[in-house]
Amino acid sequence: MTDGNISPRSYDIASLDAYVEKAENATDYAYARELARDLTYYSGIAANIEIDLFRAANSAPEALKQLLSRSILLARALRCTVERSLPLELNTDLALCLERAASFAYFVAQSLSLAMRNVPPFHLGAGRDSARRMSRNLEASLRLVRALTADVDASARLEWSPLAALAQQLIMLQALLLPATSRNRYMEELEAELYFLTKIHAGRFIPLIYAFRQFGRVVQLRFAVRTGISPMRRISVFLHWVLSSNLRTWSAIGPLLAFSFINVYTRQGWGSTVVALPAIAAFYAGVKWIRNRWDIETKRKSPPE
Amino acid sequence: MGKFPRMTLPTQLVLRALLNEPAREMYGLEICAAAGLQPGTIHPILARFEDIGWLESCFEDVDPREVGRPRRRYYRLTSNGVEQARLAVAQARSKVPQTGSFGQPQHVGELT
Repeated sequence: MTDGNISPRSYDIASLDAYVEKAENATDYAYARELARDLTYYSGIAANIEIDLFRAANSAPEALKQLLSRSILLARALRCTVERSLPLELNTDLALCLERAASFAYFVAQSLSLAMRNVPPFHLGAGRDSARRMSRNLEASLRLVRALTADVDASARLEWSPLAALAQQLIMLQALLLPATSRNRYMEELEAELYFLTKIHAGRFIPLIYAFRQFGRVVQLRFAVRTGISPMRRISVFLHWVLSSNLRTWSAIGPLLAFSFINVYTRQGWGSTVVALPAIAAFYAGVKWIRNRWDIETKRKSPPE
Repeated sequence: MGKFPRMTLPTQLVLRALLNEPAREMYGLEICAAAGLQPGTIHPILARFEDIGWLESCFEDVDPREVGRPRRRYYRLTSNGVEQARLAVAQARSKVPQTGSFGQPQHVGELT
């Protein structure tokens, strides 16, 4: 059953290899499409192996079952990745995506093939052949994708437009505002995303908008990186801590009230100070209201028995 | 149960986007597109998830000098993160529309 759905074309690696070698324009994403089509056949193999391995897993020993389950997941991931990549008309991105999928699946197929050597054939049946075939074909396809990726990247190095260069400067400035321990990481990560946007939106404002949006969140990112807690959350935690104790609450509000009363007295005299006394009641009611609203209970010492 | 981050709407959208395919590694722009959020919103959220161990990230395994471009950083939920994230999303009080209805999920190649 493993061969049933596979076109002979999918095994014609040599001709595809020659096609890529003869190609002059490496940026033409016809190569990537060609390759994607080829890898789709491999995803067909992956789908078949998935079925075979599922059958084998029902009778294999526990350790092998785990390996098989893992390979089933990986085969599924490969198929999903290939399917998702097909509509992409960005050759480099597609090639990179496929390379990752292929190398991932190749590793598993190889491990699986090794593991199957010591297992009685009746346990595994067609799954063993499928794994070997998958391993062999993916090895060839991986080699091709690597060659393609290198060609495409070498020939399509990005030329930064003035707008993109400005966006890049903004990203660098943002990185400088981050903690030193995370600076290099975010600079590289954000530059990679900017590179991608610049490549597909060359000469447009999109990369600059991206950089401005990133820059606008630098404070949140800085706090998140440093403490793992957002600034608002930090303020909220602090306010809860203050309000959970009468001593802390009135130590903070008391001096402020006292200063206000002294200020009123020195400017307007005793009469106005007396009129301002209800402010104390208003503050008390305000604190009580916030405590109720935020569901804060004040700590009280338990009475002695 | 580990500590939960504050489940704001963007936080829930990011979690839902990651939970759609927990085994898949995604980079920042992909997560933005999948969650329907603007760039810049997600990195603080991802940093918080990494801090509490729900998320792991790594740069892609290429040499930037060879490929002539910076390396992408890929994110993936940890096994513990998958469980905790599912729990957190389920417990989140605010009702979030399914990923995609808030902002049309885009393919990476269609990012604007």
